[in-house]
Amino acid sequence: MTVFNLTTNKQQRQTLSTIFVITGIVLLVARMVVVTFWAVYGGHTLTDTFMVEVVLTIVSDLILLCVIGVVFLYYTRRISRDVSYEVLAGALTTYAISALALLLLGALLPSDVVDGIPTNILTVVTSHVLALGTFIVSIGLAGFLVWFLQMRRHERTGRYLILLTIILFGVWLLSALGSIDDLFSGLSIILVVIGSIVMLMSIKRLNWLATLTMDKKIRLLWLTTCAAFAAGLLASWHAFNNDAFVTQSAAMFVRSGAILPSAINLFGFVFFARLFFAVLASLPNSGIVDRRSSEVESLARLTRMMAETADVDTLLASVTQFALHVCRAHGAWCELYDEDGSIRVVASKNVHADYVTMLHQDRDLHRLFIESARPVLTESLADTLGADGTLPIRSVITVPLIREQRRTGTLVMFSTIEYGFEADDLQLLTAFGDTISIALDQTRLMEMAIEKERLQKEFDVARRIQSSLLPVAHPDIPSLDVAAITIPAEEIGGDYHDYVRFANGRPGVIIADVSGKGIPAALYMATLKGVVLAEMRSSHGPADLLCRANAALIGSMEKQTYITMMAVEFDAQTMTMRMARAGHTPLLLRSGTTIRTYTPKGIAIGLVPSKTFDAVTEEIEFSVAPNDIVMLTTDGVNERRDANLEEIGIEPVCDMLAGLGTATASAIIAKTLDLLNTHGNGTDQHDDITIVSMVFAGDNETTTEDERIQQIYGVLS
Amino acid sequence: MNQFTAVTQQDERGICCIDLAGYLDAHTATELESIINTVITDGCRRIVVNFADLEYISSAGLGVFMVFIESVRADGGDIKLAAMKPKVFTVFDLLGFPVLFEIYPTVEEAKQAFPSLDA
Repeated sequence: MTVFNLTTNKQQRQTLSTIFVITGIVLLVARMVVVTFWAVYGGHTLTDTFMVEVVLTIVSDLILLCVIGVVFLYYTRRISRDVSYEVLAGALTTYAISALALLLLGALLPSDVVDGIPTNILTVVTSHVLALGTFIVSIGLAGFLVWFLQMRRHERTGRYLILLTIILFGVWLLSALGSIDDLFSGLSIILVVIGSIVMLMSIKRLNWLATLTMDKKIRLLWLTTCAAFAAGLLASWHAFNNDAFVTQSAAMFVRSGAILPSAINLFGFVFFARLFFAVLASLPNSGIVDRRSSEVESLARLTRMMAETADVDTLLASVTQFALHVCRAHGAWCELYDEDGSIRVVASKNVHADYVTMLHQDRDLHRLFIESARPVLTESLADTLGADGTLPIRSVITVPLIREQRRTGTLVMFSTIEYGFEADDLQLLTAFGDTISIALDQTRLMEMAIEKERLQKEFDVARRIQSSLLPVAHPDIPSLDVAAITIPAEEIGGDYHDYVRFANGRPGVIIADVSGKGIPAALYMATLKGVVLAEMRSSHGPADLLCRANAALIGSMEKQTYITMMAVEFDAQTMTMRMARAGHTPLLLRSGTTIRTYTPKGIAIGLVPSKTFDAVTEEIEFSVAPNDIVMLTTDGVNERRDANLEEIGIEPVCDMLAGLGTATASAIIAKTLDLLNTHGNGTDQHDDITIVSMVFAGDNETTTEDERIQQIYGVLS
Repeated sequence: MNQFTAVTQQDERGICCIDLAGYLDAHTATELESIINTVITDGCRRIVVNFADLEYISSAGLGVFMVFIESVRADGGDIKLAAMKPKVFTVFDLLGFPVLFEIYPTVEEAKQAFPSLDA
């Protein structure tokens, strides 16, 4: 298999080809010189001395081997390429032109051959050129035939090819022996006939020709005719016209050499004829093949488009264009039905959108367009609907478009002649309709996914903004260790806590809960923050701050929305706390092992005008001792649910506080969150949770900021 | 979860009684809102809400009553709340709703609280 290894390397193949060509030319020139001296000047026939004939024959055979080598290299180069229309057409054209040119050349060139002796140098040269041309064309044809049959091979192709080669040599041998006895000539003719039959049997699997378009088939018919004509002419010329210059040249080149091109070209003729009839036989179904291939192509393009187009209107416009392209329609449009029942023409080809709207005014047509559940072919609008005979639209196919199981539109194809469509148009458009429906669903899903992603991004931004509205650092207040946390149930929430400083300079804490959840609650929460910042420095105490907040917000809040809020103020000198409550969850005070709750009178912010609010809101004061704990919460704490929707209540938190002993503010928050997480047991948090804890100390034994954060987040994660 | 229901009946004195049952939260609040809205558009301005069978009320549920109270009172009517379970009352009480609404132990008492029509 060294030869095959050689031929796989492009470089080596080129080198080898060049060697073959140069060797061939040198040998040819050498042969011409020998013949010139021997025949033209010597006056000998080429066959009268055995030695000379042997030498000349060997040189000829070597030249032929060079030709065979080049042809072999050429076709093994293309072994990987399959037979296609282009390859076939190219080969047929090359062959037909060169064969006919050769014959023309043979007929035109002057021949001065007398009794097998070329009489001048010019004849020597021309006869050699013609002989070489003959063999190149024939061997090239043989190479092509072998390659073609290999490409379309079946299980017996190999055997047939070997048989054909043997037959070829048999024919040549018998022909050469024909000068001895006529019997051999007769046998050679029989062998040629057998060879032709074997050739015919080798040609299989020509079905692919049927898939060619009409256009290509017509061209192929013409090309096979030309090639068959050339092959037939060349075969018969060499076989029967012994006086022709071409034949004489071949015979002078190789003894009885003319029979070889004759036989090869005869096989070629058989091949071309077979091809001609195969193409001819596939002609009648060309129309169907053309349509099918264009249908398949269109569906494939449609599928590609579906993947690329996210916009429904663009998609439908392209689809309408395609549908028009593949069926016999004269025009088409695509209409969409909006939720409110209005009709929108998104794409119209060869028809104006206004005209479509006009058509819908006809009740029967309107019903036909919008109601058909499956694609429907109406062959004659005049017959079926008794429609106006003057309508340019005579027959239609309506294809319903379904999106999420809802009829969203129709693709309408129309023809301006009655019975303008055929059943397969309907079939194709049905396939189209299904594909489009899938595409519509896909685009919808894509739109939703994009929308969801966009919302998610905005929520992320909103969450970041909101968390920046809550205090990050805890204030350094003498005798007070304070920590707080807000955990929204969704991305953003309506809970709020903050550290404030009142007009008297004392520190304070506020906690608030906006009714409802999500974006509306978050917007109110942000508004409240603004109000608190604006009002705290002029507020005389907790109750005053709540009243000011209510006064600021009452006019701008929706009726069903309200804010519960609590404010506390701490006086470290007297160790007292003042507090006021606007409808908020009670304050918890742990003193020793007892828990007290403080619920001074007050109504939620945003419900009643200032007059009532100010009158109702009560401010109380209580003393605290070192180690006392005050806890402010929102109802997200006591309403934390488990899987059975059972609320935890405030009691477990009270019990925990009562049994706590000494703890830092952040540790208390961590413990409270622990309780909530245990109760919730992995269920979704239902409401925003906010906890503020304050631990009073005689001396300032507060933990550092980092420790607090660590303790809180350690529990969260 | 107990299904939320709200049933309306009108007595001979023209008082509409809305009987609530189940859970009143953010989801069912819109349902109640449309029911009260229907009652009011039907011309009734004397409304008693019976909480006897209501198990739970959330902050969003409370907001519903706020939507209508102003306009009803402007027309000379009222929305009175009655027969709350202690747990439900606590929610109202904490928020300070007793300042805004008249809350009665029983439906009868609530109805009696409306002045007679001839007055």
